[in-house]
Amino acid sequence: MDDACALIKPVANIENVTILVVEKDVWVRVFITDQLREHGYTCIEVSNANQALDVLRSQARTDLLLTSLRLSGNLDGRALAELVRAEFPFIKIIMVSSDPPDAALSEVLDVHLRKPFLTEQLVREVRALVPSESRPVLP
Amino acid sequence: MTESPDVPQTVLVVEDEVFIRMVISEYLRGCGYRVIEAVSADEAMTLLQHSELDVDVVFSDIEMPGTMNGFQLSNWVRTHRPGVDIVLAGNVKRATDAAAELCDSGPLPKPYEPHFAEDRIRRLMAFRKARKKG
Repeated sequence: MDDACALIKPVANIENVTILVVEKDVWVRVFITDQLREHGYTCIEVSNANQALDVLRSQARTDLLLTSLRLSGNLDGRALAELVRAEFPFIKIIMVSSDPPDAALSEVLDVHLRKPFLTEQLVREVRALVPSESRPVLP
Repeated sequence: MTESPDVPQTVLVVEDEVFIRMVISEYLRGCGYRVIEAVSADEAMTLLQHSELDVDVVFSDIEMPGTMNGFQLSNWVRTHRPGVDIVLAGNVKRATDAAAELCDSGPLPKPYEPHFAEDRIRRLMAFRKARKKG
C-alpha cells in the first residue's frame, strides 16, 4: 500500500485554466493566444470590452483577464478592468500597455505588463496568479 | 495544401458573434485542428493577405459588420488564396453541422456531437438576452 501511494505523483493540470484575451490588433491577439495555448492554457479571444463583458457575464469559465489598455469601442481597457474588479473580484487581471499605469489603474490590476514583453514573462505572471489544478495520477 | 501528418491543419474561423466563434473554435480544436479566430471579414483579410500564414480552411459566417460579408470574403479567397477551402455557414445550426463535418476529416475524433455545441451556443445567447432584458 505504501509503495502504491509513493508511486502516485501530483501532476499540474492547466488545461482548464481559462484566459480571456482582449486585444483589438488581430496579429497581436493571434500571437499571444497561440503562445498561451502552446503553454497549455485555454484562451477565449475577443476584440473589445463589450464582447469581453458578454463572456464574463455568461456561464463560460474565466480565470484571468488579459487586456490591452487601448481598445476600440466605447470602453477602454481601464474601464473594463474597473468593471471586472467590481463585478468579478475573483478574476485576476493583467493589463498590457506601453506606459506604466497610474496609481488609480494599478489599484484595479493584479499585474501590469509593459510592452514589449517576452512570452516567458507573461506565462510566469499567469502561473503566479492562477495556480494550476493538480490531480494525482498513476505513472 | 500541405499535408504533413505532424502539422495540424489550420482553420480560420471568421465570426462576429462571440459565443458562436468561441464554441465552434473550441469544437474544432477538440478534434485536433489549429484554429485562428477573426471577428470580422476585415480581420480575416488582414491575416490572409500574408501568404506565409498557413491556413487550410476558412470557416466563415455570412453577415458580419465591416466592409465585407462572407460571400465577398469567399470570392477574395478563391482569387487570392486558391489552395484554401471555404466553408460558409450563416446560422448556428449550419455552423455546428459544418464544424462536425470538418471534424469528420479532422486528426482526432469529434469531441462531442454537434447538437451539444448548438445547444451551448443557444443557451449562452439566450442567457445574455435574458440578462439584458432584466
